[in-house]
Amino acid sequence: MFDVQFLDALQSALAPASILFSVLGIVIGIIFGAIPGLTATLAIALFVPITFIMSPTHGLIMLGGIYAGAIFGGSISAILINVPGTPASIITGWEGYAMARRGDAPYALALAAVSSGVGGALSAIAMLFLTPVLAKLALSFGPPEFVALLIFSLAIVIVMLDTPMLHNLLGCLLGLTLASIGQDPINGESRFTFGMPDLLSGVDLLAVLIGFFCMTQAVFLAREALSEEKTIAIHFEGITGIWRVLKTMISSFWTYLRATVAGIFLGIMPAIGPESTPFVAHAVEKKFSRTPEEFGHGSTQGLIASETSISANVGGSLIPLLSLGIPGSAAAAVFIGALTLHGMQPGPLLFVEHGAEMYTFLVAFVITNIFMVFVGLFAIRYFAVVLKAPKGWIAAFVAFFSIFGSYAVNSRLFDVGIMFIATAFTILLRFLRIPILPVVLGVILGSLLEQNIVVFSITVKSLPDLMARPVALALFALTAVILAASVYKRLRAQSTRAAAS
Amino acid sequence: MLFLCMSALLLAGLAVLGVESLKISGPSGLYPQVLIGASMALLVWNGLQSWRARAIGANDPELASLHTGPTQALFRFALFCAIWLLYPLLMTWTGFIASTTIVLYGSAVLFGTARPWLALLGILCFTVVFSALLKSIIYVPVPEAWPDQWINALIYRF
Repeated sequence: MFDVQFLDALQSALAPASILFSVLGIVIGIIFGAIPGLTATLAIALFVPITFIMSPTHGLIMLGGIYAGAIFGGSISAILINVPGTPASIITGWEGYAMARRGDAPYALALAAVSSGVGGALSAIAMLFLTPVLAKLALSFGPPEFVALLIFSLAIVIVMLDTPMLHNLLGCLLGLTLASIGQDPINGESRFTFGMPDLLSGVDLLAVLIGFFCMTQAVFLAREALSEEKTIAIHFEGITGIWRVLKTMISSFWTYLRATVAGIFLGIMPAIGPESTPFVAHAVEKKFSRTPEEFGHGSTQGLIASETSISANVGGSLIPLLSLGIPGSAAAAVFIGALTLHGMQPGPLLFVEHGAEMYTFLVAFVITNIFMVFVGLFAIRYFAVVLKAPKGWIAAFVAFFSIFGSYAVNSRLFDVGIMFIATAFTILLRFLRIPILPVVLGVILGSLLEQNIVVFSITVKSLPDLMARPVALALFALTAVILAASVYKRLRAQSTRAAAS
Repeated sequence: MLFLCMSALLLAGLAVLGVESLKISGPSGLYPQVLIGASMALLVWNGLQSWRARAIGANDPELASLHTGPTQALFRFALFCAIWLLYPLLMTWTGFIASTTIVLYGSAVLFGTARPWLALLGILCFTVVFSALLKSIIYVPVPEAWPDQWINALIYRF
């Protein structure tokens, strides 16, 4: 039965119209993803009504293409000019921009395209075969498990960054504090609003992230343009470049696997979007790497881990959506709109009532990710030309898109002000040598953490209550072991240095 | 010195939030109070450690370039920042098309452009096309003046 359905789905997914809508979606997604402020969620939301004029299958295929394309698109500007097009591309920008500065922009872009495609395709295969099982796993997660998972994510970033742990911890606390601005998630009491109604809903995450990364980069680019070299050198390697990418792919098999598992796992967790996934995947990969010192300085493994995990998160976030009707991310939530528009109710009966359409969509999503690799590889030469533009022009346009992006989210100038404050805050933190990455993770996860801590403290009142949650317990224990091991390692390194001096 | 000033600035900001958090009644205030208290303690500890290790004045050339270098370059850099800080205000007075053209062209002039008229023409084309896209595809309502209204009328006519 499944074989027949699968073959029918494959046939429909490979039909010329399906391929056309898939490629169209990818191109639209890449354009939206590459512009700071325009996210995958916005792109899907804008194109949901347009899919009404298409058949349900083609509509879903196009939206899948937009989703996958936007995730890769965010990495293009991140790699080329260190301006993440989407919040998920922060880590990709960290590694990719360092590679671009070495003249390896086309290689970094090719790796990002391939990794994005691999992560997306693997997550789509997981969707195809594991949807019911993984959805049950997601349902077993309650507040104690979420608290444990979120603390684990924060701890892993605090431990893995090269900067002093104290600085990382301080950054994380500052991020969590920023996230507490606005109404508290349980009682609705306003905090730190200083009488401004615009702050009641908290600081807009996207505006803050644009300030942290995009506008700050515009400031530094402008200063560079006024002092040193005007453009960055690029090396195009032609066919040898493709071989280099293939060689890296083969040697990074385990990196792809680990990042995909991390991406899918975090994707199926409701409310944990793709933004925080690359932080965890990157940190885990650093732990396994033979060259951890390269991480943060243009590491190919770091780039692969980040990009693969983001795309794997896309598929992962669709698993609870399709099987239970629970979206795993904001973009997945918009997908509900598309499904209901075409008369499909997400949930356990979706595959029973609309099996043909859903299997076609899932098979097409695998194919879409493969196409995305080719579209990405084909377009690299054209993307990388951006680096040939004078830095001053890039700085001006990055500043423009930063302001426009932060304004476009809610169509209010208040968010532009928030974005400017976030830019100044980033520069201030840099003066204090406090890394921005833990701050970012704190801002992203803060509200979810507080919400779950409150419920956790109400529901888990004693140790036996906690013992009844083995997953949470295991995650807490793992966090404690990682923290203890890291503190011990750093103290030992410190005493060795002291003895040597 | 700059390090200490920045530390003091952040500490003052946290202190303001700390005082504000004391006004929040009930359990809603506890979570931010813990975070702010821990942040302040770590910040003071960090400052003291850096002071003891004489590690103040980090070796970050990119950061140092923001406040050191030739006066003319610093002046132009300050102008660039001022232009973009004023851009949102300018947008509310002159509309999206005029303000965007002015600030983009202003930036181009600051960085030096070989063909100013060509740059102006290019920027104007970009702004008009982008504005049309905003109205017809992306649907982001931006502040408007007469050039924007003219584009609106043109789009509706077609």
